[in-house]
Amino acid sequence: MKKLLFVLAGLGLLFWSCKKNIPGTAPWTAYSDSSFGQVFEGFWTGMNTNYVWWSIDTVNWDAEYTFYKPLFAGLNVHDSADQQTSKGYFTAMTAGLKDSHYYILFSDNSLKGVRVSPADNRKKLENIDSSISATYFYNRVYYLLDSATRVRNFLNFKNSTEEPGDTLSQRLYMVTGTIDQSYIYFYLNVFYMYANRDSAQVQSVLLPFISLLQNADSYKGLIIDLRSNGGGSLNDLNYVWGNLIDQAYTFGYTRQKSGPNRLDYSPWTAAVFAPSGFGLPAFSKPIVILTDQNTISMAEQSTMAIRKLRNTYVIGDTTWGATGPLYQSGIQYFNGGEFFFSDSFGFVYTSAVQFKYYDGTVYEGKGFPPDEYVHTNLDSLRAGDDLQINAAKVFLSNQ
Amino acid sequence: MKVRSRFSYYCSFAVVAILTACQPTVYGQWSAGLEAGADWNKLLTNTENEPTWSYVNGTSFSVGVPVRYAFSRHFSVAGDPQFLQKNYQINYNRDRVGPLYETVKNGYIQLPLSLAYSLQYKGVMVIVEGGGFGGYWLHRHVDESTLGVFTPLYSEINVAIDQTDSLNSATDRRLEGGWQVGGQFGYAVSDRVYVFAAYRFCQSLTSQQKNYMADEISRYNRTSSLTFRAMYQFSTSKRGRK
Repeated sequence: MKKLLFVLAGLGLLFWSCKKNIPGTAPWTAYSDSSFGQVFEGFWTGMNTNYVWWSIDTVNWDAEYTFYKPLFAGLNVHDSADQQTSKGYFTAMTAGLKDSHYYILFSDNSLKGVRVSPADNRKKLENIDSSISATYFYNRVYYLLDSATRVRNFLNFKNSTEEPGDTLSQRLYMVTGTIDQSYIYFYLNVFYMYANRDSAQVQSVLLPFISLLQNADSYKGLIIDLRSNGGGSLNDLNYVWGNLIDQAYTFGYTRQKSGPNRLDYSPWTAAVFAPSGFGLPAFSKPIVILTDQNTISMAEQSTMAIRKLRNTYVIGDTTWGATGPLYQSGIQYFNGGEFFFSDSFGFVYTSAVQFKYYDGTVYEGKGFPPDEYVHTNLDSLRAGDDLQINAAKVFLSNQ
Repeated sequence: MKVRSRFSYYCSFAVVAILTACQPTVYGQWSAGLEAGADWNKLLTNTENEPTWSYVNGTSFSVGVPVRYAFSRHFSVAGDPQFLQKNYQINYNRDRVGPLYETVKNGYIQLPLSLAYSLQYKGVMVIVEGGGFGGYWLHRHVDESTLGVFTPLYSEINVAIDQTDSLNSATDRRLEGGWQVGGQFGYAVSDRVYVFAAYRFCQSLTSQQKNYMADEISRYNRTSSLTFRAMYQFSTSKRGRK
């Protein structure tokens, strides 16, 4: 009888203690820009659902809510001074976020056009090297190449995946050729070759590059110059670099959000680097990739993908650290990523999926390190002494 | 206030059950057997902030070892340790791409404990029962059709993933508890062997997710099962013995 009593009492306790109501959380899209309280709620809840790096981020988002909610509530959304104050709050709230693509772009009132980028602010504090202008490669490095093989071209194009704040047109610079008749060289400033594959300008550089790869036996190796490359479309991974391989391989994994809570994730999916389809044999000579602190996004993905190839070496500096792929605004195929909040008071630009390297390392917010550090020295570049290209030549000549 | 009144209700229920159980007639009759059948699981959660998602009920199976102890002519306590799956599927209804989904198969071991009331007429037995259950989440298996981020065809494709995903100690609550009610319709095949068709409805009161963030959206399993079971009575009833 005692046992029966125990069982029944236990069941009663179970009924009483475990009940938890399903919360009726309002959709983050329902918040308006009528007050800073609403703006804050829309932003905070949108981040819960759409920000994909919570599993590695150390920002305590719940603590941010507790701290900033009353501060935002005390601001008047129609007061321009308060609007500027809110910018400071947004900046402080997001300062520690790992996503190095991340920025908030405001589209209302006196904040219209103002951008808050945690990674930009962090890099300024770290006093990172300045970007190398694309014209340096186009006008200076080009003349380092052998005159018989060098080719360059540029293309003005409109990015079909324009984001708020993007300029309406971009310029794609491409340079290829050989150095000292020993090393194949290839440079581009952004990855939009596949997107513009029908243009004569793209083909005027890509085809000579492929031709050089076909004659790989005549050269000591390949220098891929991704310094100050701002990234671009993932399609170029296979279209451009797929000419170096003859079979697909996995170089990392991606996963997306699978629910509205911060740590709702789908399983990891293989990130596959595949041949271009031009039918080239695998490139058998050593490869050097040049990187700097402004090698960003798709340029980092390219570095990581090619680095997995045998006999590949990275020279330069640790990359920016924005490795999470994005997807165009408004199409939430991946359950996360970019979003507008509070009646379009602001727009959050952020990764759509997480990425980790094949060895399990996540480089988001940290950057991909080189095998050999050779820091950017703008004075040397101006003097015509390219330290990184020199280091690449030394490495390849010793292979 | 609401919780307190519910607690009072449960206490009253428990007292009535105990008083009923304490009737002087003692039967002391054990029976045990095997059961197997199908189950249907619905994930109760809030998806209002994701208009392009829909949760679809999952179907699976359950197997168990039912044990019953009759302590009076009509009342008994029963438990049936079982293995079952509580599955569901998320469908992502988006434009431009084909069907994207995530089928989640969750394996549980579960112990339902019931107080049962039975009526018997000749070889036919009808049982209604109710009580609670405790369970442990053993594994999760995810089969997903998703959008390829790095695709060799430079286009959107679906990638089928079939992998066992390890449960996350930070987010997944592996212990589950709740209430359950059910009914059985049985027929005596012989003096000691009964076969039953049993229906059970289980409602979890614990979320599958640990409470790790503010404004968290919880997930509760609601599982119905239809099983067939065969029971063997170890001793015949000792009517009238006090």
